[in-house]
Amino acid sequence: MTAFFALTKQLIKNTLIPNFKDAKEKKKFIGMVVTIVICLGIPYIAMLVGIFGLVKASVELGYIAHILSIGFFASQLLTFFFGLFAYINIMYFSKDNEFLFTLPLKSVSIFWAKFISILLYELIFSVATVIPVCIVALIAMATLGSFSAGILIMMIPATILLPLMAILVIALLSFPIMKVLQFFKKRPIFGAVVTILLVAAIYIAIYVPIIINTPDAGSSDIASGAVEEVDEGFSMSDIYSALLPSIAPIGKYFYHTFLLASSMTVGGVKAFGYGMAFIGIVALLAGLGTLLAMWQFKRISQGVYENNGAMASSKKQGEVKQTSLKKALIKKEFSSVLKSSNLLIQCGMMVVLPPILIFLLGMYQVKLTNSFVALAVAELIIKLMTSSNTISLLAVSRDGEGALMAKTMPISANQIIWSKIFVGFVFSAITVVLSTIAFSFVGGVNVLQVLGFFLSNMLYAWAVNRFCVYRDLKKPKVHWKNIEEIIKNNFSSVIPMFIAFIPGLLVMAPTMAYGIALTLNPYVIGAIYLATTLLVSGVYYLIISGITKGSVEDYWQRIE
Amino acid sequence: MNEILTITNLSKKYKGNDKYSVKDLSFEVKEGELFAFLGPNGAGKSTTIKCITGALPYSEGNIKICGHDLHESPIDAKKNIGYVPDNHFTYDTMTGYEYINFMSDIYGVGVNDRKTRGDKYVELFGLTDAIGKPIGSYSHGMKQKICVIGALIHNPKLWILDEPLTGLDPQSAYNLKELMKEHCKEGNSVLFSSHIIEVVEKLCDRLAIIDKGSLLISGSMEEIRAKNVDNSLEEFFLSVTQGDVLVGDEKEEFKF
Repeated sequence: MTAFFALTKQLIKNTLIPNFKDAKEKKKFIGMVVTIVICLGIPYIAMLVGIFGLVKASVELGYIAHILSIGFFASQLLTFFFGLFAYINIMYFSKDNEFLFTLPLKSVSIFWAKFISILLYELIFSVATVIPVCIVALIAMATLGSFSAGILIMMIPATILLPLMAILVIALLSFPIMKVLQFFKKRPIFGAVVTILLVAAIYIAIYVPIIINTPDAGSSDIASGAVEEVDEGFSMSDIYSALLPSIAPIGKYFYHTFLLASSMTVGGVKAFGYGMAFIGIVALLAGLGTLLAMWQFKRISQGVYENNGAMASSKKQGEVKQTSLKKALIKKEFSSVLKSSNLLIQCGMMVVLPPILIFLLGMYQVKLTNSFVALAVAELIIKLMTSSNTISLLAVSRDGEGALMAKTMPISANQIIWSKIFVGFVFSAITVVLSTIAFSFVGGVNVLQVLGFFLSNMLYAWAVNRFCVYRDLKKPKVHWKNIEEIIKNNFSSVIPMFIAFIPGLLVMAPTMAYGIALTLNPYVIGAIYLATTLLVSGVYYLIISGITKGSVEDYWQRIE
Repeated sequence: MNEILTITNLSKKYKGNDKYSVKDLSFEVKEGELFAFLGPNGAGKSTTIKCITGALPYSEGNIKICGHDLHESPIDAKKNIGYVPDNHFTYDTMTGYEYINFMSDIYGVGVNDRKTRGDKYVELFGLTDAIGKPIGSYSHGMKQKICVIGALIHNPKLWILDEPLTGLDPQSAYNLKELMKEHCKEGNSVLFSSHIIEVVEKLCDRLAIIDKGSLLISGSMEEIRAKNVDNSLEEFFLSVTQGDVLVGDEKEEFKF
């Protein structure tokens, strides 16, 4: 086996195959995966059945390429959002880089071996989105008596090429991001802020054209109007027919995915041309990525572990002050967060992205429907994002073996854990405040919506941080040499995020329903929403308090 | 004797640091030679070794391994190195057996050679029972041993070890020292870093003492002894490094 294939094989194994200590852990993991697949799979299949009508209507109205383009672009966005930091961590912060550069391998070989392992990992999203959407399109076309060989031919290449393109874009963006981080290496806060702004700018660049190109529904409410029409005897296909002319044209603005979608739907020589044009774009990005990798990958990666040497040898004059235990613990927590660029970026993203997404998606929703639909989406976003607070998810793990030292100190575990929950909550609270401000600017919002959103999510934020800290306390990973190791291999957000769907959907579903179906005064609906969201967060808080009560000392003593 | 490693005027400054970690360092390791790199903590031993192995970039000076310049033909140069880092990095998910196979694939070692050498070293280090288990379950010393096996599987011309004896039990430390001597007898060379003077004194043919990034002295043990008739190597080491062994340049000032 050549060195490149040996390395690629090993990296794929590292990325895709979990490492189990024993059969019990393996069984537990499989059980968790099956549960998640079932729980998410059923609503997902229901959603596919739901969009079947939309796809069928788009075939009838000649919008099938547009709709497929939107679906493909959404799949790329998923890869992009989930892949950006996974990519940076695996590519640059991996502890194996220092080892790999001592082996007789070209740096480009190391780059592509890592790239392939990341691509295979990200294929999961693509397989779960592109293939089902293509199958739905095929069936929809078949029911209308037409058959598209293009979809069949391009389905598998599209499944691979769409995430490949997204990761290539990530690869190209990662170079300036890493340059920024290295430029500000002695000031991790500045580095994190600039990186966050850079990523935020990318998100805005993606969404703003979508919003600008979305036709304004004006005062007439497309969705609720369509629902009213249903009452008068219209079918769902009439709703789709009403929605499609507003939504579908957006698909054309995603030029690359529109090319791919057109190659699947137009047929003949044109289809071949569109397909080749899409492949050409991907090839161009791959070429550019290779050139940049040859030039920069080794330099940046070596810079990452070189920085550790530079930071370690920097001289700092210490100043000794006396403070209370509570303040000392909180200060220590803040200090450990603010000294890791990677942790700071992940946490910064949790703070900055929800307000941006809530504002941009809110503007989009308000244009198409109304502020209650925007609020429903905002509720789901904020609950999912505050559940992925890395500071709390790694509350104990990020102390490393320092946690074992802390066990020898005459401090109550409750005090330590409270300070960890508090610091995690501070960051989540900033997210909630910024998101509330962002939401209040989307238009057509009333005070009850804003108040309900703010109060319930503050309560939720405390509860979810408590939950995350306790989860890490139960099974912390304290044996590491470099904090990037645990940040990189952090899958602990899966469960809290998965659970967050429950309160998220419990608030989202009725809020959306009120917004679309009810014709009451907005303040009355606002009051109903306020009661619902406070109830859900309150129940969530009580459940979490009940689950985590009284177990801190036990778990703390079990850390080893 | 041919020179296996030649370092000429090597200087290394970490990014963002004003001070050189290694400054104007020159020495060579000859064929069949067991060369020790001695210095206090923070002297620049690991930085030098990382530059030689390609883990760290350097902008000043030259490094040649078996005649191959590390900048101009890094792959050819690295094929001649077997490196045991001080942090014993391995992939924890691999079993010991998989790691040996992986390193063999990377260095292009044939099936027969990897089996013969692998079996020999696994037995020598008493890893027979653990070789099929994930490296993540290994103790500190066992990880060190599997790194040594991975570094020797291609029978490198130059075997580099960074603080190799840390964490090994007495029997394994003895075996490793014997292996280093044996490797040199076969016409290869060994470069190792240490701050344990007794080990260096008993083991090496030549040594270099480094402090604050600069070479203080280098030569054969006989040459060093000749220059230092009245003192032990330990006393000599402490005198040349001005007794600044423990803290080096890592002093911190505290204001009260």
